Amino acid sequence: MVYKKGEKLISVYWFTILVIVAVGIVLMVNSYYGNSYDVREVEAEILSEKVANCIYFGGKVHPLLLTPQGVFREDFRDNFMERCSLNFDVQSEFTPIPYYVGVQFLTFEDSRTFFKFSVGNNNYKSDCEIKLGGSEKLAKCVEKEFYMKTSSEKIYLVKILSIVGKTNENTN
Amino acid sequence: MKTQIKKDSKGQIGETLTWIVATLIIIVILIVFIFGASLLGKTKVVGNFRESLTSGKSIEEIDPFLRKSFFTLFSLNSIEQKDVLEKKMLSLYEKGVFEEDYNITRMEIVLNYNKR
Repeated sequence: MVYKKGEKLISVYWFTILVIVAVGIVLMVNSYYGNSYDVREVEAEILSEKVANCIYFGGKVHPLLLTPQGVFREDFRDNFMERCSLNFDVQSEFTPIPYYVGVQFLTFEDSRTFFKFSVGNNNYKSDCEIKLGGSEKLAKCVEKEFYMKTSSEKIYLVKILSIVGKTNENTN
Repeated sequence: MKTQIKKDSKGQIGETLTWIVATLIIIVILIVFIFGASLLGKTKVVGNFRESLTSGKSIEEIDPFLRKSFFTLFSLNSIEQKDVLEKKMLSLYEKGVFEEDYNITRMEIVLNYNKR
């Protein structure tokens, strides 16, 4: 009789341990896979690559960027989004645009800004100047540079600054 | 008879203590693992894959910006301009603007140009 009671107690104990271990494993998996991936930097890189390919691809400048005389066209600046097939639209009307793209054309000789334009949310630009540890809640900035040559043999340094906000979607 | 009962109860206390300590150890180990998993979860970054998981074919390390600059460099006619541009590109590379290896990309593009 006494032994039977002890056996019952032991089996309840083992069952409790089993439940504790199972809950622990569930918590472990949940805490690892529950954390979201931060893809903002990759997204910003893809965005800058897309813009770069639109401006200069295969050694040729976008046909609507320059006039035959080699002058930058103002209408390219105005219709940049359509020209480069970009769409920053967000689902909700009151949600701020989570992207920013700024393009600068600098002269080859004296690195002077010759032509520039930007689209998207300007407010994120200040986030790029803050370089602190643990700045996950700030927008991610990626700056890329390359040299391009126009048909009139002029060289420009093209600087593309792309910023992705989306902090809520990419951080915990 | 009395001494026998005393001995039995001592053994029971010892065994119960062993189980309590074992349970505590299991719980502590679990807490440590849960904490470790949550810490590891925060370090997840897209692109940090082990070499054994990715073959050379699946991920190509390409810096399109360096390639574009090289296309500009090789399409120039003036040798003077070429020299100046190459110096500027090298200084950008030293600053860490370009991600890909400068010389390997250069060689690759030269070979592709010669093929054409």
